[in-house]
Amino acid sequence: MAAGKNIRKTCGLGNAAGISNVLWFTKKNEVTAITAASSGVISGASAFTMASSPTAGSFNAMDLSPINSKKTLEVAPVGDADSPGWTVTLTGFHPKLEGAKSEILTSLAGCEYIVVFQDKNKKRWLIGDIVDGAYITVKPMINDGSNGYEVTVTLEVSNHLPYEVAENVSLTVAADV
Amino acid sequence: MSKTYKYIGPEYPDRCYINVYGWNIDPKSWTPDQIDDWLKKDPRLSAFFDTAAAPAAKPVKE
Repeated sequence: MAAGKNIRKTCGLGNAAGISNVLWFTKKNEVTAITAASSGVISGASAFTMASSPTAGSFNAMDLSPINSKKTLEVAPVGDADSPGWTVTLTGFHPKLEGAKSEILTSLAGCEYIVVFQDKNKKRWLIGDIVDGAYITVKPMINDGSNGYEVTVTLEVSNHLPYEVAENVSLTVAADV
Repeated sequence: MSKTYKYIGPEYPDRCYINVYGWNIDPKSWTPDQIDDWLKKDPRLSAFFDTAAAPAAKPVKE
């Protein structure tokens, strides 16, 4: 692994703050392999091998609020010099409580997931893998200023900052039914 | 001879689409005209298709 290399400021184009309005998630066992990252980037059209049985694996899409301040990624260092790592926490907000949504979101509890989200620079990032998945927790809330679900994706401890998922990686996503 | 396309991209089940290059697309279902349109819109999608010239149709015996 490269260490101690220079890190230079990226010039040209913009650098947009914020997270895009959709994330994709799949149960950990619906992905059978993920291509190894090279220089922190997972690439290749078939980088995610989806399970074929008992049912064909696919990602599900979840729309998030378009309001930037309601979506954050926080990657916090944990451990010490002997055992460095990071916890990864992605939070977002899905507006409007509805019974059908609550039914789906209830079913997410307790399972491990592989989650891909996109930032406003159009870069996609991976949280979780086929061994250590992320947890998705949901907090329905209604108050004076909002009505919806606060969604939190948590990866307890990772030995690597989130990997980038290259533009050429195809995510298999279930269509709306 | 007309151009034909064979989809050679990653397999995905029916009732799914793929998210790639910032698009939510279903290239398996595209007609040749749709493929042409999409390749003009984003030439990177050409990696998903094998382009070949179709053989000339054989005359049918009556």
